[in-house]
Amino acid sequence: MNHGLKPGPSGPEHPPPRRRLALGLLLALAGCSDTCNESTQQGAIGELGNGDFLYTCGVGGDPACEFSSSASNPDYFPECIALHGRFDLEYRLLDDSALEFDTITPVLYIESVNQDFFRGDDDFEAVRTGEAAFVVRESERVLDIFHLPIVEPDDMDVLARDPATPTTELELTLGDTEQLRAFPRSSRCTQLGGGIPATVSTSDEAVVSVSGGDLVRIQAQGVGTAVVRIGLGELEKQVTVHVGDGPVDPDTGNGSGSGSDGSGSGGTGSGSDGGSGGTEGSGGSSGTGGSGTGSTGGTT
Amino acid sequence: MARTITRLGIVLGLGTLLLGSACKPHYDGVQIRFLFGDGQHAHDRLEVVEGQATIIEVRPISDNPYEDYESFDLVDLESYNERIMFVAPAPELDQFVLAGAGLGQTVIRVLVNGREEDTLDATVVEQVTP
Repeated sequence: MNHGLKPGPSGPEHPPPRRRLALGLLLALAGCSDTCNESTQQGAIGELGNGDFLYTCGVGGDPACEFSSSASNPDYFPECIALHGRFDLEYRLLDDSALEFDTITPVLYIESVNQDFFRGDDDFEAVRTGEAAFVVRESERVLDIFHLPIVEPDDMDVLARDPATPTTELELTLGDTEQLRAFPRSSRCTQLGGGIPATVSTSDEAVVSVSGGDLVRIQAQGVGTAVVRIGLGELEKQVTVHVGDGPVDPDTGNGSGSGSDGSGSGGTGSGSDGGSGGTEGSGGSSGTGGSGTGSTGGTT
Repeated sequence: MARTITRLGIVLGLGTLLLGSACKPHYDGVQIRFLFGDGQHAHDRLEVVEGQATIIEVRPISDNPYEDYESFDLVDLESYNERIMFVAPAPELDQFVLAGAGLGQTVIRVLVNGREEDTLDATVVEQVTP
């Protein structure tokens, strides 16, 4: 008889050591199935210290993902968000969190406390400068808090995709499509986050067609030169796009140039400094003809 | 004889009632402490900045000299207008998150053990951007 006695370590409530090991392994595997595919991102610890906030980049031009291949694994957790910037946040409870829950898998969600600063309930958009908080909720309870400042960007960069260098001029051949990314910059905040959908316009739709949003897409439609204006909110940058009608032959240097005046194709280029004594080709001042893009063109 | 018993019963009943009420705390306001974030409070009002979240600790005060509120006396706060002042319980008992959800004024109900005992004026003030 064992009335009133608590079972010992090997009693029915405590499996023997070997079974405990097996159970431990099973639990570890079960845990892995839930968490092994999760982001390994280094998040930002919440202000109540119960977990960390994970950042997911918004549109293609989010500076927090400038060098990253994955939107959910940014280069850094932003110190501030660009005005009009879009992004997403997730929350991961700390493993040693002392919080108690009624259910095994509590449903957590992140809310912006003030929609005048951060609008949205899934993806967020910064709509006003200042600082505002996010709260992590589980039912009625708030488990954590995080404040993020919103700053107005004072500069922007337009980068080509490969190599990712600042771009003010592009050379395309007919039918080519180029994708650019436009990043907001702030002199007050080096670790800026939030991608702003780009607005794009072209000076000549017969030369290039453009579309904005996540990425800036420029498609060569006709020979000539056009100026593409790329905007991020109040900021704007221009990219001059030259479109030629054929690829350049690297051996002969023969190619078709295009003039800004659209008066015809350029002559055969023979050197970057141009030929001797020749008259300028009719390809125009910014032709892409020949082996060079020199303004003095090739001999004709 | 029967009359005496009835009187005794009344006296005993009144005594029990008096003793019972003497053994219970009597609400006389709340003590509020800002644990985190910027905010201001007086005995009957709270103020936070729009967009900001704060944590406060709320303890009910009893004016019964023989009985204070205990930790098992549950305090709850409810905002009349969550679009102005967001109020939600924090993980710790007696702690609440207050956040300025929108500019303006509203009222927060103070409940102790499920019973409304008080109201606090709540104000959300404009955030001044440097």
